[in-house]
Amino acid sequence: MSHDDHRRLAAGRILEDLDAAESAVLDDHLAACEDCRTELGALGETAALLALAAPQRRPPASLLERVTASISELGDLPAARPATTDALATTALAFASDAALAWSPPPGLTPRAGGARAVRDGRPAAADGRPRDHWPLRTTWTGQRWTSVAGLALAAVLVVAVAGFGLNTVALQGRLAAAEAAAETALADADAARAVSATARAEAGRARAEADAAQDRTEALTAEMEAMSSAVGVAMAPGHRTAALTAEPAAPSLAAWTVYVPGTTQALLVARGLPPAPAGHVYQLWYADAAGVHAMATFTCTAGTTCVVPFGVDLGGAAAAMVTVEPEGGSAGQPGPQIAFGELEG
Amino acid sequence: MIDVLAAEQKRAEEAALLGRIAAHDERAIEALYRLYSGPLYSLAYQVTRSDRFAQDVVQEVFVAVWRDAGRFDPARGSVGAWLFSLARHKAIDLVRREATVRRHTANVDLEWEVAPDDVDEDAWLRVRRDAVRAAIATLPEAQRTALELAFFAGLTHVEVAEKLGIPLGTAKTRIRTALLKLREVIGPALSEAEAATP
Repeated sequence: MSHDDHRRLAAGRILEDLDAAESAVLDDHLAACEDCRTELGALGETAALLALAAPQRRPPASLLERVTASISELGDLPAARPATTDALATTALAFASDAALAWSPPPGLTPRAGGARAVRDGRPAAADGRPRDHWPLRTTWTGQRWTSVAGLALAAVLVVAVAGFGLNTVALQGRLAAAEAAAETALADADAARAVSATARAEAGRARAEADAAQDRTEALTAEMEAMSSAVGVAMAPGHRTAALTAEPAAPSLAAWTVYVPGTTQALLVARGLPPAPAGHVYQLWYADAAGVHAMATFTCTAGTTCVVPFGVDLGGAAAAMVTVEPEGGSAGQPGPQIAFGELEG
Repeated sequence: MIDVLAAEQKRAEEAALLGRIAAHDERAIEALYRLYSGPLYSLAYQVTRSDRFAQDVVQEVFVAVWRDAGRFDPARGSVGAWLFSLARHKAIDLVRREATVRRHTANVDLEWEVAPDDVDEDAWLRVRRDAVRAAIATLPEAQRTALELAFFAGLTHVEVAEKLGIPLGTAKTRIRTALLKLREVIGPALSEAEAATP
């Protein structure tokens, strides 16, 4: 193969149109040819410069404000997460990454390290499943061919969420027991002293209230855990499908999946990192099929939890699922602003 | 050699800016925004033909930069190349996603939208823009059309072939050849133009 042939392959790499065989030939050559590595970089720069050919327009002045606002919302999220969750997430993701790398791709696809990153980002790496390893980062998405990777990412979230439930429940049970003991002690003290001390009664009342709140939270967590168990059930059912949803900038830490079994009404949205809905608003599920766009359940999601919301319909023929922000009570016709969107296989 | 040194210096400055963004310096991302928001918005507008979508793309790009600046590797390309690649992929994803919801296929306009340049811009970018446009003008029509469909309309190479009624192999060859020619033309043109830039 001549030098020109390799240059053509390098151009193909930049244009993302190489098949697996061509890609392997190019990689072998690049490993041995510094000139071609330089040429590949120069072709990448040329492709990037092409962007400048577009007629130049001035973005609205308000865009900078919008960008800085969304960045402020993002803050230092990675550092702010609790250490325990991080450790669990790391373990689960390491497991999922290994599994993703072990996953055998369809002919013509080369997942490579992109598989692991796709899992970490909660979304597959490329619009068409082709590798994009000439850019420092992979940022785009879609393609049902990556369902297996989306499924692994979902599995990782479920592992983390269930482990988190366990820890939270144990911690809350500990606090519940401590609060109950404190309430009993305070009441006993009050009785023993036979002092009608307003302070002691208030103390006892506060302790009892905390015990009740802990009880309520434990019950809520139990309900969530049951919902999560149903998601695990669907995710393990034969013939299930999993599709990642892409989050909008308004929800930068959102990772969401639709998991469903075609031909049944087992169809769930699993979402982690959903921000609180704006005041007076709720989230709403939608799906689209050949007949149009259908409004489904409205819901809210407690910050820091993984939410599971049933669609309640068969998504076997659906083409897309999305989550929008709607006024309380939800919308029946036109969807409001999207917060997440994903194509399905229907 | 002056232009080469200037180009290297520019790349180093921008890579340093990314380093500050990785440390979450808000002034650094504002500086990057002032350099690149216009070209990124213009690219996104060209692909999506929508002000709203173009704004969404620019916002997503800068959010991604804020989040991932620490993972940027200057050895693998310039900051500009990374930003334009991010914006182009995000714009194409947005167009394809919207097409699914509306249940229609985007009717791609082969022609450039006629729009005068409306910016006060960095002389550095202006030099590059002129060189790129001049280089594109040297391409044979068939190659130019195929490249533009792939690059700005977000069509896959299979779709380009269908749109132009040519075999897939021919479409791939046209697009690859166009990029290689641009590479040959733009490199020397930039060297001359930059040598003449004060």
